[in-house]
Amino acid sequence: MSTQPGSPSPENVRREGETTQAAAGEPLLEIRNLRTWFPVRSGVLGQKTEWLKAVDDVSFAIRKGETFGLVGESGCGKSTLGRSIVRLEQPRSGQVLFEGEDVLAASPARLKALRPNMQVIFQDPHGSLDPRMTIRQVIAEGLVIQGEASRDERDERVEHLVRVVGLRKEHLDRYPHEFSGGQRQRIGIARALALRPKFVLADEAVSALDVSVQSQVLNLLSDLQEEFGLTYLFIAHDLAVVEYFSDRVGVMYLGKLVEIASAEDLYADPRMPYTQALLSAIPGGASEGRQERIILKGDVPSPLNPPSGCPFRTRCWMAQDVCAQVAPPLREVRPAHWAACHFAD
Amino acid sequence: MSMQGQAASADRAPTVDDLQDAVAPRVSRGRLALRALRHRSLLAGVVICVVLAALVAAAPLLTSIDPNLQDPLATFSPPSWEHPIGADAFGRDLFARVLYGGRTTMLASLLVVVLGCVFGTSIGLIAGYFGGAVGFAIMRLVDLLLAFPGILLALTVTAILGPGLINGVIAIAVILVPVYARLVEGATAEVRNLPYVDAAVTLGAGPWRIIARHILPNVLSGVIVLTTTWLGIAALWITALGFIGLGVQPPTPEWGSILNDGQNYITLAWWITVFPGAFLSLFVIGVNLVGDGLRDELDPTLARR
Repeated sequence: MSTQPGSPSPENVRREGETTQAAAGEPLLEIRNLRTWFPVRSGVLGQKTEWLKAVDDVSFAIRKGETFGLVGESGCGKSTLGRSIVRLEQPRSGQVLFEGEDVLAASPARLKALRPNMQVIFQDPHGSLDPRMTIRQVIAEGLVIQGEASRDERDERVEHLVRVVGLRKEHLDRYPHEFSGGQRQRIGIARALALRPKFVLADEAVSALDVSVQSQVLNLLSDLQEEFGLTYLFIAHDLAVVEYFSDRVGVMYLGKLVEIASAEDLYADPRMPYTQALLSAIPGGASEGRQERIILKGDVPSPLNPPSGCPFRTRCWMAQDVCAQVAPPLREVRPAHWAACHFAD
Repeated sequence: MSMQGQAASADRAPTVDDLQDAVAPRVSRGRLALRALRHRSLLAGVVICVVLAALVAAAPLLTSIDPNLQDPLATFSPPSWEHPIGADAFGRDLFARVLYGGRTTMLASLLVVVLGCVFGTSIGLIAGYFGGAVGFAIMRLVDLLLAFPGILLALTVTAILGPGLINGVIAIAVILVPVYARLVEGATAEVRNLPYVDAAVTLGAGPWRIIARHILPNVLSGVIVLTTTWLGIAALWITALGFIGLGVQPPTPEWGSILNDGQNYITLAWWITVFPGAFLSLFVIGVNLVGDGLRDELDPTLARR
C-alpha cells in the first residue's frame, strides 16, 4: 500500500497470470455481468421507452486487502457501479459475490446481516452526516441498528474510533456543522469503520476536500487499511490520486469497464486508446515520460443510445470498421493487464 | 509527488493537537427557550400565549360565577364592579363566559392542529419516502382536497357529521391534513435523497427507522412553523363555526358563539362582542408571532454558531 505503492509481490504476479481476471487467490468481491439500467420514462402515460445503461455488463474482482481504483469521466457510471455493489442501487441483472455469496440475491434480513461487511465513505462531507445527530449518535448508529454491543461497549467503541480517525472524545457531543470538511470526512470514516467492515467503498471520498486535507485523509485511509485489513474500492476522477492510492486500477467508459491493470502497468503502458487519452490529461504527466496530451474529438455519446460495437469508437483515432461491428471483449493483452480494444496488442 | 512526501513524514494521521484548534469553539448549546428571549417577536408571542393560557386555565380562581348562570337583573349590564366586562342578553357574566369560552376555543384549535399534523405528517412521510404509484395516488388525492376552499370543505363535513364541537374539530382537521401532507411530502422527497440517508441504508437501517430517525427530525422545523401558523387560523375557524351555529352548541360558552350572542346587540351592548373578539385577536396574534419567531430560529441554515 502506501508503503510500497504498486509493487507487486511475486505472489501477486503469479495470481494475475491466471486465466481469469478474478484470478484464483482470494477475491473478496466478484462482480459478474453487472447491469444497472435506469428506465427513462417519457410520454404522457409514462411508458418506459428507453434504458439508461449506467453500468452495462461489468465483470471484475477485488482481492482481499487490495485497493482497487476506479476512474473515468463524470457520468461514465463509476459511482453507479460502486453504489450497485453495496446495493444502494438495484441492478437489473448480474451478480455481486461477497465471499462467494450473492449480495444482489440476498433477502432483506440476510442483506441487513451482510451490510456491516460492506461500508461506504461518501463524497459530500456536508450531506453525509445527519445535521440533527451528534457525532456520537452518527458513529454509533450502525451498532444500534445491528444490535451490536451494549450501551457501554458502544460508547467505548465510539470513543476508540473517534481517536483512530484523529478527533477527540470531547468532539463527540457536537453537531456536524461545527466541523470542517476534512473533519466531517473523518467522522464519516469512523461511522464506516464502526461495524468492522471488510470492504469499504470510497466514493469520491476525497474529491470535495482541499488538497492538503486530501492527503491527510488519504494517509488516514492507508493507515486504517493496514490496521484493519480493509479492502477498498476507491472511486475518483483525480487520476494522480488514484495512481498514488491504488494497487490495481479499472477504467470505465460509458458504463463499461474498458481496462484493468496494476496501477504501475496502467499508468506506464495503457493499452486502450481511451485510457491513453485520459492519462495524457494528467497535469505534468508528460514530464514523467508520458506521451503528449491527446485531445479527444467530440463528446461522450449518450448512454441512452451508445454506439454499436466498441463504445469508444466514435472518438477513437484508431477506429476501424471492425470496431463498429464487434464489441471488443475485455481480454488479457499482457499478463495481468486487461483491455477492451481490438488493437490493444 | 507531494502526497508521497507527506505519507513518509506523517505515517500516522495528524495528531489530536493539530486538529484541536480547527474545531469551531464550543458555543453554549442554543436552547430554544434561551434563544426565544433574544428574539423579540417570539418572546412577545410566547408571553401573549402563556398569559392567555394561564388566564383560561385559572378561570375558576379568577371568577366564582358560573358562566351559564342567568341573572335577569344583570341583563345587558355594562362593565361594572360586579361584572368586570359586563353581562349579556341573559344576564350571564361575560368575564366568566370569555374565560371558560377561551378554554373551549383554545383547546379545540389545539386539537385541530394536532389531528391535522399527526395525520397529515404521517401521510406526507409515507408518500414522500416510498413514492411510486401509492405516493402518486396519495398526492393526487391531497391535491383534490387542497383544491376545495377550506371553509367550504369544513362546512360540508359538519353538514355530513352534524353540528357540534367535536365534529367541527374533525371538519377543520380534515382541511389541515392535505396542507401538512403536501409540505411534508415535498420535504421528505428532498431529504430522502441526501447522502446521510444512503449512509443509514448501508448501515442496515430499514425504511421505518430511516423515516423516524433521519427524515422526520429534518422535516420537523417546517411542521412546527406550519402548526403555529395554522393554530391561529384554526382558532378563527372554530369561532367561525361557533358563530354560525355549527360548532359548539348553546349554552356552552365559546368565543365564536359569544360573538354570535352579541352581534344583534352591538349598538346596545358593545362589550358582548368586543371582549371575546379582543381575546380571539390577541390569541391569533400571539400564535402568529410565535410562528414567525420559530421560522427564524428553527431554520438550520440560520442556526447560530
